[in-house]
Amino acid sequence: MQKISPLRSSIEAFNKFKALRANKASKAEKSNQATNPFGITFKGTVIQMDVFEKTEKTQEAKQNSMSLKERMQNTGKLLASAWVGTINKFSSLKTNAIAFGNKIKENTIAAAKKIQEIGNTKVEFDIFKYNVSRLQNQPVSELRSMLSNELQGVTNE
Amino acid sequence: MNNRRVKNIIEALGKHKDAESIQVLNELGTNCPIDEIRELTSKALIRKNTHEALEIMIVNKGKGINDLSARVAMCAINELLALKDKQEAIKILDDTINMHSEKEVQDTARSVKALMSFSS
Repeated sequence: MQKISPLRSSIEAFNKFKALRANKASKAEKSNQATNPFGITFKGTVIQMDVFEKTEKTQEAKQNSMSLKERMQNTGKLLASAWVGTINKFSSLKTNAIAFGNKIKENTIAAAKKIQEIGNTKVEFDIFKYNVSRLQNQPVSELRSMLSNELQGVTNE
Repeated sequence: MNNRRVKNIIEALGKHKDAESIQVLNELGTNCPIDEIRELTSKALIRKNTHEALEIMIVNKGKGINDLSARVAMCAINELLALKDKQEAIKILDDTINMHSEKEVQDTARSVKALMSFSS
């Protein structure tokens, strides 16, 4: 019986393993070309089609398994949440519109008051009324009454 | 006194073309107890440079150049001296010197006339 050294036997075993792996790899490449174009690998082995399809299948399965009643319930919930959201949106719009209207109202009242105050001020009126060039064109009788009134005020001070 | 309105009314009456404005200034302005208003009135009347206005300022006792307040009288004299056309004023001064009943008024008119002859 021929004596086989442990080194030689280990080399032979390694060559066999290498040939087997190369064969497997070529097979996997051929079958997965369409489903795994990027050649994504996991610990050396190319990830196959069923790895990608698994999750989708489970979702579909879940949907298929969901009863009609549950679906209706889910739709109802969705509609209700959408309706609540719309109500909230409208109510916020309403409050904003009311606040805006109130602000405009307050501003208008303040402006009207200011205009009234300006209209009532005597200083503005005096500048035009007691202008010399304007007084010159007024009748003397009017100037007489104005001067007598002013002199009465001055002498009483 | 710092009354812009009174000043403006007196100034407007001084520049007014209506002869009635002289009467208003004579009645209200020259009889006012406040010196400043009499001063403003005498200025306004003399600047008119008409016979009626100058007569009030030269002939009447206690008004214009004959005012009891030295300040008002001096202001009236200054205005007379500042006139460009002094003919009418000199004519009235001459009449006052010759025909006025009051000696005090005559003397004042004489002094003012002398000043005016020096200044012209």
